[in-house]
Amino acid sequence: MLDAVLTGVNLFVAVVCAGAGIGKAVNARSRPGLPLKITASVLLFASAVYLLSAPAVYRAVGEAVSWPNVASLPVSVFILLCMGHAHLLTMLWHPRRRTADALRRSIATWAPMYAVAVAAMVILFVAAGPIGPARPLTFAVAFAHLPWVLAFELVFLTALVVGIIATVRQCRGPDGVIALPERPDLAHSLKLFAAAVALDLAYVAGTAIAVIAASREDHRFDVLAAAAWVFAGGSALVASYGLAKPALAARAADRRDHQALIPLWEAVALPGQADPLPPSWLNSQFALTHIVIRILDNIRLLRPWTHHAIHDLVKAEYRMITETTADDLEHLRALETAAALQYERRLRSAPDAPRGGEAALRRASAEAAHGLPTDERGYLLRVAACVDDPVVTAVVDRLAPPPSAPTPTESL
Amino acid sequence: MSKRRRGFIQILRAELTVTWARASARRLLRQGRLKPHEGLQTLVEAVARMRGKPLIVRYEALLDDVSGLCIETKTADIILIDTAATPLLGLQILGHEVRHLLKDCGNRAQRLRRRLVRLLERCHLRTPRPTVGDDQDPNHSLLSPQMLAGLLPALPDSVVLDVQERRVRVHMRAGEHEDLDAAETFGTELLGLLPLNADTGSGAIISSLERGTGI
Repeated sequence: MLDAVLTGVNLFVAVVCAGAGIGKAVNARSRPGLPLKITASVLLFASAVYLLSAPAVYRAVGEAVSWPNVASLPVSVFILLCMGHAHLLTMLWHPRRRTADALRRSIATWAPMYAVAVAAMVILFVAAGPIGPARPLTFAVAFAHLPWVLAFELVFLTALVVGIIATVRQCRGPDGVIALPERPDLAHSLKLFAAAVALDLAYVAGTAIAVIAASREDHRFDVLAAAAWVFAGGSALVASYGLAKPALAARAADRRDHQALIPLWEAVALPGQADPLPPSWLNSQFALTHIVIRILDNIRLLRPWTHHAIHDLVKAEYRMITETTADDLEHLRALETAAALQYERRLRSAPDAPRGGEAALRRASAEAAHGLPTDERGYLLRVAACVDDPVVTAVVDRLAPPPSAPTPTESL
Repeated sequence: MSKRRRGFIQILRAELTVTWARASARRLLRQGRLKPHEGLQTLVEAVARMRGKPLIVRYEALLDDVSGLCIETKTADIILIDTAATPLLGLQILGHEVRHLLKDCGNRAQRLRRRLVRLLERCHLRTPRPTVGDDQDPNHSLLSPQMLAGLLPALPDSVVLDVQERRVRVHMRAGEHEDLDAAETFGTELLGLLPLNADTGSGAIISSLERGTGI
């Protein structure tokens, strides 16, 4: 029963890490860059650790190669490699220390440490031989009385704690990697990542105490090794969440903005036009870009009329309805564009409605959204929020009254 | 927008269709060794190198219905983008037209397959299907010189001469495309890969945690 629960928990952690890692790996195919590849790799290695640690898988691997505890070797090596990845990431992330020379020096310093530790672990594990029976999650304390296994665990824990301390030091202080005042959202993710690395110290401490005691046949502290594994699992989940959080938040923002743009699409859609792609989880950015492009295409076709009369009417209606003066120029421009688009829509639906006079200036839609391409999403969202605004409705009713309303005395 | 609720199978099928279409676009970028993450200028230069002739991108006032044109002459490829297009729409149009220029790219197996398909169609053993750049597709039509002269208020003299003397391949982005039209999908996917945001100095962190590209 306990084995089944532990298998389930380990597999859950493995799936979470794998999910985040696969997402990053897919992105890395089209967005090359070492940091993203390393991020994907560390998550996939972590997933492998928890997969092999799951008791059912651990035993199955041992039976397959007739070496009951063979899975303990890759689990320990992968844990150390995960720490090496995290260490490398903090070097690559550091905005001020990641010059080519500094990176080369750091890698030349630390890579041999990890390489020697892994080599020593393999040699010691092989020297210990195929000891049994299988002890998933408790291999270290079960066989710590054997000199080769004790040496294996001490090399592993020593290299791990050195890596943890070096990585956490990269993160601390005002010059640390997580000091990112210009991006508080990313700084939060980096703090979670640093916390996950620090949690591994608890794993090392608990395991070390239990192993050293067990080497003297004292098994009172074996429960610390079990608790340490819980900390390790927590660390993996926190790291996965921290690394995946910005991407998940971006997807949620894409879907939210997509929904918000639908009223604007409905305002500019021409009769008989097919709807754009609906909001998506899997292809959120693509679907959002698609509806933005369709809206911009139609705005270009409509070439909405914007001129001083609409500007003056919007300001006047805003003052009348809200009893304040419009100070926010961006909001005012969005109201004007929404009014112009709704006016065009009213004219399309009633071809004999009064149109503007010769004084109307037809301004190209490109002028409605100037600046960087990345500004246009925000601009369209502001316009979408104004499409059904009472100010816009009042302005359009004055310019082109609905068929049932009396003809206004004022014209353009 | 249609408020009809979609079943889970419908949603899954739609998602997979979009994913497949996007994967085809990215495959084409990889085959052409094009790297959008290095910026638009680099991409345009890479396409020009691949085509063995300059790629000229210009903004011109086009007719209402036409947002972009791609003209393949012997001396240069010319992409025209309507001046009424916003910067973001202009990038989409550029990506759309670039896809027309890349239509012949692909590995040897794909080129052989295309030749085989054309042979089968010529022998009436296969029904021709509209493809990007095909005469049958109204949104990607070849244009006669007469139509072309009427569409374009201004073109370089050498191009006009070229168009008048012989029929050149011209593609246009006009009318309504299917949602997953190959050229439109390519343009939209390209928008998601271009570094439209300025790097704030935390580029390595952004690339690990965020997209860092697209809108």
